Amino acid sequence: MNSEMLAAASQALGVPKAIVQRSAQARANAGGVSLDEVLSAWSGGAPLTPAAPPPASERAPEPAPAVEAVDQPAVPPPDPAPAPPSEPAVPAVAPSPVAVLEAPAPEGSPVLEGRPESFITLLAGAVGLFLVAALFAFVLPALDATPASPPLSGLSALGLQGREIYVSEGCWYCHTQQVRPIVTDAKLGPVTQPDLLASIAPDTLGIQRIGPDLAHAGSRPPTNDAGWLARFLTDPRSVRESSLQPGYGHLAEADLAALIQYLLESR
Amino acid sequence: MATATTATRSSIANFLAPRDTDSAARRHLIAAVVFLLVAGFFTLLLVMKLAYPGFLGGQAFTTYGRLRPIAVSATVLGFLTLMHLAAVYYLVPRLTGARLWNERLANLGLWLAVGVNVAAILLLAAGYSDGREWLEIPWWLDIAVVAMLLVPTVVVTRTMRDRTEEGLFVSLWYLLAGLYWVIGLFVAGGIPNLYGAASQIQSSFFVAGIIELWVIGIGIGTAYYLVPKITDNPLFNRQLAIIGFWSLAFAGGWVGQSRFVYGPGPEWLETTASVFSLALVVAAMAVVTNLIGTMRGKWSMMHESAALRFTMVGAGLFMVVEVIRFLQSLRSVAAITGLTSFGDGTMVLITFGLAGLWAAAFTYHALPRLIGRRMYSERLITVHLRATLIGVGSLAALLWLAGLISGYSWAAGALTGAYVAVGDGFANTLDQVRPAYGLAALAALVLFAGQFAFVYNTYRTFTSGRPTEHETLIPKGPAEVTHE
Repeated sequence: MNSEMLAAASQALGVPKAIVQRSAQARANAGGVSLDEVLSAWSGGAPLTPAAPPPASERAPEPAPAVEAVDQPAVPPPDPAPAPPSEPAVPAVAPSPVAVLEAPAPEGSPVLEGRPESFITLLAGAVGLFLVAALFAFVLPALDATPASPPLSGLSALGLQGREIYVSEGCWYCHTQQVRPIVTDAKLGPVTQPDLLASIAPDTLGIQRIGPDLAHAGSRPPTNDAGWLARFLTDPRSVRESSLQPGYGHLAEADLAALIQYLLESR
Repeated sequence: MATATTATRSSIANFLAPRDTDSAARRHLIAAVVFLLVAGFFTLLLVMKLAYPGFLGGQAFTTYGRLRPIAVSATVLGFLTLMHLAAVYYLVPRLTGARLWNERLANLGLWLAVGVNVAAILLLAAGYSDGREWLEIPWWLDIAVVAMLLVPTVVVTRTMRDRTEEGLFVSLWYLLAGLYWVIGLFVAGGIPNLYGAASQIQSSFFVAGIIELWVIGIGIGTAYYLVPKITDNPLFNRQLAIIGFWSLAFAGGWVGQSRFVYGPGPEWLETTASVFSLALVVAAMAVVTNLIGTMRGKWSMMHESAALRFTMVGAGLFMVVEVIRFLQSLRSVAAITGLTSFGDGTMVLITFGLAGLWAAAFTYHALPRLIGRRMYSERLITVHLRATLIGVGSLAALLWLAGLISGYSWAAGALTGAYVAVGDGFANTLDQVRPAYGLAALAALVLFAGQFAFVYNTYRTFTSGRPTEHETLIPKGPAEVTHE
């Protein structure tokens, strides 16, 4: 094994030494020629015997050995071990009972799979695609859906305070405040328009309806009745036996009043 | 005296953040398993609330609205994220042939991660909520989350520069990209003060991104390591791997708005979300086909290798999940399933189903190699798999059923004029759904039992697992390469 020839071949092909070596070994085994012959051919020296490819230096920087390896994935190499015996990086032997794992290719022989790949290129592609998605699936539609002059919320000071309770207690996990233009939402009230949503962060549009929609709670019975709301929120199952509503009797009276005010003002 | 102090200081430092090989993977794995117990407990409690709303009532922190973000946070930011980081720290040195750059920093990062998670749970229980789904924690804690994710990203990126393997194995694609994606997602999610439809778009973008690019993405990376490694087969097909990876990278960020079809957001965004959901079906098909192909001739190993069993069952669920998510995004389907429990059914199949199974597969493979002890009980592994499958399968099916019943009864009420799903009318629709919620609590109990078997088995492995080979990674350092 001639390290100078290996270096020369590596330079001629523009491929790291370890890969050249493994590929050359595979080629040598497959073609029945010696490793030195292959290396010499690849480094621009004497051409190989007829079975061998033309001098690979002509095709640099495309790594000829790697191309060949990829073209014939079905042919098992004579030595299926990840590294040929002459692999320079021989792992140190650790004391028993410790199993030594040399940094391996778990996905098969590097002669077949390994190509010098830049992880920077991969990351650039992956991050680039993510940025495209962030731009077109988040930033632009978010700008698109934000009205130039958002309407006032129409909430009183107490209503605004109640909205904060509505958000922090997580009412929005089970109640939506959005009406869609489809049959399931018929009679829920006017359909929610992006231009008409109040400019307060965060939204209270909600994610699902374990309980009813509350977009227009203040404009229909029974949620337009402060007394009913107070009774229901304090002890839901005394009002409606089958209700899934959690009781909010533990809320401070002022907080409960604010929450009720918010619901009444949600029209 | 001075030397004694120095020695004490360094032993404390070594206890808090050791430098030894694989210590970061081992510690992250332990933390993840602890958080699984927390996550499983809160998820069980949450589903119980649907069946017995009065259960544990009368306290602010035991209401559904407070428990839900805690359960999600403990599952996604706790259990799954910590397990993913353990997988990253375990796999990257093995795939690059380089020692982890700065094991100590990785171990310090764990303390930050645990701190962030504990703070998140306490703050959410105390009612600090930003009111955006999956981004409920206060904005300043979001910054800590980014810091906690920057640690593994820096460590892995620096390790990549030291690598001695020229090939970039398929697992590494997912691990590397996933770390950068998740940071991007938290940065995008952290943009403050969006309101109205924009705020909804932000949160749907974030949730879908975390699911596809982080929870599922890193899971795929783990599966792509485990199957070739355990079966000792080469990867079935590299072209398929390329298709799978780039389909996910291309489409993963686009599918969020499919949850809010017919909502106030732009209509075109709902359409693109649906189209890109189909690309994710392609991604799942490519990955699952590749894993199945890699299994060729080795299916009998499913009997002996728990890790293989969990990986392949998880892969099956991956396929199911992406198909269901595509169906959910179709307008005709979303008209019924939209804003119902249907989406939660799919979600639980992702978190405790496919991602949870892949996390367990990684544990069953890596833990014995990390601590030199065999898993304590094969029977508990079987219990874990069966209980998880029965639990998560029936929980998802019941929530899907509840979603369909809700959607159809809202529509039926409106169409027949018998009632409308508003005010008192909503109770009519709820009565149809309650039995499904009742059974869901039972399913959640089975699911939790499975997770408990897993956690207990892991604990007993530490205390009384039979010895086995302790795998130590000897990287091919640059020094060894130069001399021949």
